[in-house]
Amino acid sequence: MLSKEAENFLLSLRLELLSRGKKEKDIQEIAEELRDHLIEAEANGQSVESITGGSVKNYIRSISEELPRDKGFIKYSILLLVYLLGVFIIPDLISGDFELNTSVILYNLAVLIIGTAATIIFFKTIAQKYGDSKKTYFILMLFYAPYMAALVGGQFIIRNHPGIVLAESNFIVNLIIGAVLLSIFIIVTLFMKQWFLAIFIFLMCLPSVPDIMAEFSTGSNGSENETYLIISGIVLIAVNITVMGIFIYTSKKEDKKISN
Amino acid sequence: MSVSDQMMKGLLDGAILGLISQGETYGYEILEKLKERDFPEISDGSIYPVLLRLSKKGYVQTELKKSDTGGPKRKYYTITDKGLEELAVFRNKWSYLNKGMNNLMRSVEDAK
Repeated sequence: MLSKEAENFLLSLRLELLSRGKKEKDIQEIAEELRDHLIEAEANGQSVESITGGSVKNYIRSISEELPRDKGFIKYSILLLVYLLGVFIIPDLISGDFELNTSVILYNLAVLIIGTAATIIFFKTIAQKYGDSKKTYFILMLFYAPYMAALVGGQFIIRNHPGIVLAESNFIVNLIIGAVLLSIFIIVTLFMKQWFLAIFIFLMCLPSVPDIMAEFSTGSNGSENETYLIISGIVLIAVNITVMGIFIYTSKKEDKKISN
Repeated sequence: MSVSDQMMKGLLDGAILGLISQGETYGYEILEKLKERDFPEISDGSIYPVLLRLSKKGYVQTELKKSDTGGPKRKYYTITDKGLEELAVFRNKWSYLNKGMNNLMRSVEDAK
């Protein structure tokens, strides 16, 4: 059993190497080797400092320099950014609300670049400081609540201040582009065996379903319309059951694979 | 990095390769052997970047085996043919360097 300090050090090492794009297999190997060393060192009364020589940061850097970078890292980072962009834009396209304007572009760029970088830096700093503890999860929750609020708040602001409009919103065009993009995203993520990502983007588009149903069934965007409420209610329940079914089926399949 | 730090870094590679050539061993044991032989100025963790480097260059090979401490699987190192060749080069250069440096430092002392 390792001390909390040693566990925190190993967690920091993993996070830092992961964020530097090192191969998962290499990270696993060096972390296991250092764990083995620390078990023996702590049994002999030595501390983590004996390994790091005082500076965890410098030590991790010296390890990092010797590990090759995962060639797929940049490719996956770009794919992930594209995916996130899809998560932000496709639901709006499908609901017919999407309008290409300068505010939308600035908002998405800010969220993708500043938001992603801030999240990584924040997560790393907190995990390095508090390790895998309740405090870490609590602080992360404290960070995410205002972050989510800022995301939603930002949406309201860009709707009210669109800036320069580059392409007008058109329900049918938006719906077609949105549906095609959604299908592509789902097919690609499923093809890459990322079931979770496929389901997630699908779920993100679900709240748009009532809007589409309302537009088609009644020709109006009336939330008070009774037919619309019933239809969208049934669709939501049906879609939810299907998603849950898929989710349970895939997780059982995964379990089977692991137990084999 | 100071001149003496750089020198230590290079020598540590040769020293560890030399230890591994004496038989299969693992991280913590390498460190203890270095200390037993009074290898100077070594922080415990500094051997791991060296081991990664030796491994990357193909001078040593590794094998995971069950550990007797009940911890994670232990990584054991053995020297390869390429490592033996490199060790021979290192030893050769070291003996020349050792001789040359001693001569030179003696004259530096004389200058005082």
